[in-house]
Amino acid sequence: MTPQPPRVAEWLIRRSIVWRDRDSVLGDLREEFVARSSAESPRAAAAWYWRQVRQSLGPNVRRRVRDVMPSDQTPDAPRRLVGLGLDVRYAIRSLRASPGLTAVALLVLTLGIGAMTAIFSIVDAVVLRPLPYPQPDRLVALRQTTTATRPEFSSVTSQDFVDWTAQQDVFEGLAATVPGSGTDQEAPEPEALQVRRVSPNLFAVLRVGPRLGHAFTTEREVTENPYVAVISDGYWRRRFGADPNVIGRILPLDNGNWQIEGVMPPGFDEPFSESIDLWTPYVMSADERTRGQDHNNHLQVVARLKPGVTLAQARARMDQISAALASAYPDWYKRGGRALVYGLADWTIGAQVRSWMLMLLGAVTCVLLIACVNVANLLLARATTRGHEIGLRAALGAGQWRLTRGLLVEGVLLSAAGTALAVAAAYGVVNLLRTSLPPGVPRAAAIAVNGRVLAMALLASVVTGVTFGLVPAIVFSGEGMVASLRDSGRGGTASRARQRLRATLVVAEVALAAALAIGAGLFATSFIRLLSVKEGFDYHGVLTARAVPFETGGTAADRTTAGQLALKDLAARLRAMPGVDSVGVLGGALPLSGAFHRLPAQVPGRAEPLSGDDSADVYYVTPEYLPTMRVPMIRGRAFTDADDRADGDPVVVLNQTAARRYFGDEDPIGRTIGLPTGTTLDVFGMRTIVGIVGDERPLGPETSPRPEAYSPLAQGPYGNGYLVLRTNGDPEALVPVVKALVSSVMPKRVVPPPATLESLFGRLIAQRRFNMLLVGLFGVLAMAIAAAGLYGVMSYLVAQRTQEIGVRMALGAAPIRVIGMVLRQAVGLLATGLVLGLVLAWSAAGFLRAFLFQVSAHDLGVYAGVPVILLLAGLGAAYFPARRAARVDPLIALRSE
Amino acid sequence: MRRDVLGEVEHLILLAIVRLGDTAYGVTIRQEIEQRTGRDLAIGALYTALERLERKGFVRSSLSDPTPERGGRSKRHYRLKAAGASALRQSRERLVRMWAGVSTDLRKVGS
Repeated sequence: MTPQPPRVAEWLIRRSIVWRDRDSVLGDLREEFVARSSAESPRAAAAWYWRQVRQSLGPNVRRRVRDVMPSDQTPDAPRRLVGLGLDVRYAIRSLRASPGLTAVALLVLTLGIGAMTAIFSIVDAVVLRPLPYPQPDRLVALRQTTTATRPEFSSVTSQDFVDWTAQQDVFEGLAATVPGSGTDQEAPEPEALQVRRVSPNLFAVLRVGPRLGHAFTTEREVTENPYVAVISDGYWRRRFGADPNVIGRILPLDNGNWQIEGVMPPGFDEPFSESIDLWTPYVMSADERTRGQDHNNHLQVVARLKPGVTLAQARARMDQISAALASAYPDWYKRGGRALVYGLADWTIGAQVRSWMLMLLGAVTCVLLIACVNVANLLLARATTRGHEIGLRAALGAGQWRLTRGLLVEGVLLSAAGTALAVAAAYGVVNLLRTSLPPGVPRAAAIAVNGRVLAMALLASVVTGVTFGLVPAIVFSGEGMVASLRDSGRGGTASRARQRLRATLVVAEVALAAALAIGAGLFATSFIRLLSVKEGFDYHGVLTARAVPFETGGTAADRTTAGQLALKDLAARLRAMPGVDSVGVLGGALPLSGAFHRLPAQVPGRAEPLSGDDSADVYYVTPEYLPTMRVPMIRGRAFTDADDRADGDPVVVLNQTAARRYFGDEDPIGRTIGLPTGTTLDVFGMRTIVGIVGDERPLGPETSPRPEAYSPLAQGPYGNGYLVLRTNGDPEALVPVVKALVSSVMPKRVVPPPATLESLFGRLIAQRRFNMLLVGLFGVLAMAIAAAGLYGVMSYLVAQRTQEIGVRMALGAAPIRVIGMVLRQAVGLLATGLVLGLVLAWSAAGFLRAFLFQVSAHDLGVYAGVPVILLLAGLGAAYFPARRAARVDPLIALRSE
Repeated sequence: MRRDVLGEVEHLILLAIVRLGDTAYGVTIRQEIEQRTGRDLAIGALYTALERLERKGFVRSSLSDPTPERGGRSKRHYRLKAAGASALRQSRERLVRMWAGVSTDLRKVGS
């Protein structure tokens, strides 16, 4: 018997040498090994063989690496590129040869990459992109603590701003901005401008200057010519047609004639508001500078750290300054007032939005992953049917790298085409998404498919293309090319390994889809719970309109009375309109608008007025208001017209929470409570309680009912308010008439558009609706892709087993048993995937907790229900191949051998 | 590296192919070099150099029938091409010119 070379050594050579020289090298080595065995000894020959291996591995590997990465120095670099061109042409031809599979792969990729691109464009614009100012990480936002509101920090008081500015030494400058107003009365219809009053140094702090003219200078502020304005690029184009000679022009508004000083570059926004038309200097009044009675926490403050100063140092310094101020003005600082310093991006974007965006990104990554796995599976299926052809190419001298490269090129080509389609789709989807985003998402206007987004799409495309191109390539290199030639695709160990891989991929798909579907299930459950919360009033079919009757002359009280009369007159006219059932008038904050009018309540038996959580939300209403809102009367009586008079007995109606909170188990009817009468909160007028109504959630379904107090409109301080119309048709249809009527009492004023309570409610639940719809969509997509993947694998397995099934049927197996057999196999895959998916979801669900409402992140109903749905979908997908198996004709199946 | 400049290993391999004539293939080339120079060239290095020579157009190769002592594997025979012959000649000429007048112990240079 001839001696055999060491097997491991031979294997090392075989794995390392390029395909082309494999036979000659192995042959040479064996020939010499045999010769040496007989000339010397088998031991010496084996030692020699091993020395050859040791010394050859280096050159062999270098040679293969050089094949992978052609260098410019090798003289045949151009020829390699030619080879690549051939690869591309070959890949196109082979993709076109199986149009069905290519179409499915493209569709899945387009969905996956398209969803990724669209979501990334949102996430990028909202949280990832740096703020649009030079050195944005040096900018900070300043706030201060207060115990008066929740959350327990607020905007800055003007008095503190003055002292901080004077005493700090860590910032290059502090700038404040406050809301302003202005109505352009020259426009055809009076236009309310978005105005922001800003410290003159704001633009310097942000380091963004005007594109035309100049920004404010502090001299103008002190020389008391504050009627200067800087306008936005958008307003410049809209109002002045981009006139380059606009500088120096006078813009007459209702609150003065403003001289235009500068035009800001396009896309400029100051950090605390968006879509501003006009910036005017914020000049503080003497009151705002002195620490008197009023705490007006209304300044949004931005500052730039001095070079070398860290955020922590700035915080420490501002702590010192506020501590010194607090000991100098103990009364003023009774309710907090300590300075808080945040990184500007952290403040304007906020941790909540950031984690929300990352959650969406995570969900869409899951979708993309599923799409990738699916396409890898498709390509693998095709590579299997092409095994013969690939083996042939290998036999004809195509190197392993060359074949791998061919498969890679196919993958990249496919993903490039998918990306092109995805980007085209993303352009449309992004616009849709931007408009359907819940209100209040920072920087939403900047969402667009731009260079960064395209770069990300390109990256996703390359990564996915290489990933799913590589999977079949790895499979083939593992099997050896010649094995593919010999193995016609059935029965051999190679094809069994391939089956295992395909099954693994499907299990991965099912697992990811299950995790995503659980997320979707949790969001959907949250949303259903949200909608089932009782609001305490009926917001359907109600139209509201804000009216500010324009009254002149007399004292302030006279004007208020005149305004109230005008409102009631308006209500009477609206009530007479067809489609309107009843009309109430409300002075104060409109339910569901997010605003509230909260006052301390003086309750008998308590020394101090109740504030904080026990303060009352106060509404001044006409008698028709509560019935119009369908707030149920629990006890006592409703208001009458006799109550709604300035000289009537002061009365009040409480809700159940207020009654319980203020009077415990005692009957409050007939007793009195005190509510503030004027604008200061320390003079209380006593009111007799005449009735109790049900609890409401005017701030939305996610809030708990609070103490509420209703008093007649005529007994309150409001000469303006909301008209609340109960309609018996489509409330939107009444909008033009209502707007016209309202504008008749407020000439030359901007009339806010009437809004339905339903639309306000929609805004409150918009983020949850958005999450539910988007993640739900992702879940459905994932499920569909996974089901398609399962269908593909089951079809393949059935095709592989055609003969076996034929034999079984020939031996008398009933079709139903064959179906059962195939389905059992599918259930095996599904169950594995589902269990993995459940584990994945269970461990990742903690992250979702912040986005859920009244449902646990580990809600057993969802975790039990979602797998059932997936199982049914999976069985549906597997049923078709199973039925095909049951229709196998034994004769044909056996003949196909 | 210019196309016609030979490295030392390439030089040796080309000479071995010339010497072996019709019988030049992996085993014989290796043995020829080892026997004449004592240099035991690893087979990996040999085939790397052979591929390079073939790409430069200095040699051509052809597969021949497998033989039993090779485990049924084919042989790759190598033959010198005209370009290889001229590269070999030029390389030799350059070396000869540079060696002219240099004593082999490299201590002194003759005039």
